Amino acid sequence: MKIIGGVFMTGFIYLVLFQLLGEFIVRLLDLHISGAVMGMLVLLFFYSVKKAIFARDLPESLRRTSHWLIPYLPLLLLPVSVGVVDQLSILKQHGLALLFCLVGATILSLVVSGLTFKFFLTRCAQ
Amino acid sequence: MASLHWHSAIEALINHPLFLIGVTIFLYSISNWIFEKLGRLGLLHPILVCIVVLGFGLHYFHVSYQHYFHAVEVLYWLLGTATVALAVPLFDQMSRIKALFIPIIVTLFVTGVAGVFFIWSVASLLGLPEKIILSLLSRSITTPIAIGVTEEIGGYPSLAAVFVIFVGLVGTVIGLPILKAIGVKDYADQGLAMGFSAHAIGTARAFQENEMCGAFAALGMGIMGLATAILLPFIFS
Repeated sequence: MKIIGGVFMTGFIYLVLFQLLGEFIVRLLDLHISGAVMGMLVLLFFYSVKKAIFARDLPESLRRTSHWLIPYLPLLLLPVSVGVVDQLSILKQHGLALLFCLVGATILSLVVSGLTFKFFLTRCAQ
Repeated sequence: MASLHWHSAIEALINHPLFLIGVTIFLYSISNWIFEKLGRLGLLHPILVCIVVLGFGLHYFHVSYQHYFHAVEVLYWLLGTATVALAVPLFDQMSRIKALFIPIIVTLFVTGVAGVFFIWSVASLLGLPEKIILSLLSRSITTPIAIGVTEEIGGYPSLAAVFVIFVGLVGTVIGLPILKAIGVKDYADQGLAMGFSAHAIGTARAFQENEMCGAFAALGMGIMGLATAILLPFIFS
């Protein structure tokens, strides 16, 4: 149990370090991107390069912590998401037009991306 | 049992700094259990159920959203950490991503342009004010990026945040059923479409499907966010 806990914390520390690094880079370059997304890209880039040069896999701890953490994404999205309830009155004024735009655009986006990529997949497979 | 201090015990419980975190996690666990038991019906997605229950709960007990957010802020910080963790499934799918690099980029641009064109024309047609239209454009990218982009192009950031969450929920509920209905069966394809269309909430849903679906959703979310953050201000300011 103690060993599992140790591995878990090591992975967690890796993640937090890359999160902070992402935050730092975003501020440094004045990019309008979330620091966490930048952290994800930097981590991916770092270990891809490491794999290409040294033929080394990801640290086991990083893998374990990530696999534990990712299924909780919906829970972690709740603090931001609950804010929608607070803003419902703003939406009432243009409610129907907004609903149409947002639902329409989402369906369009799903269909266009799904079918465009499918077109390439079937062409690649042939 | 007159000697039991019910009142002060309950008082201590609900004023404990961890109380709202406990309530949120407990509620999420129950709704996730129901969601899995009843065969993952879109409208019963735990995010949707929790927002409705917590929304009513906060209203009923006169707790402000600011107070709630402050109390559960730790979960918000962990969201960033979990976002970084998405690099791991991406790393594992890297060979497939590299092989499909050009199709992914082409799909990204086709989807992005179609979305902006649709919103711009339909919203203008329906007579929405320009500032609201500008706030709609970043709807399909994750909240922190959407807020920055909307500020940049001159929309209302707080409104954009609401649109983003709403689109995420819509995508989570109707995404996979629509994709399956139009014959999109490949997990990578489904994932990419979910990530492009419904950002982090869609990605969370994709991970419930399987690892590859989730990895491609994370990729889609990441590059759609990047491309939108770079290109929208370039086009609209």
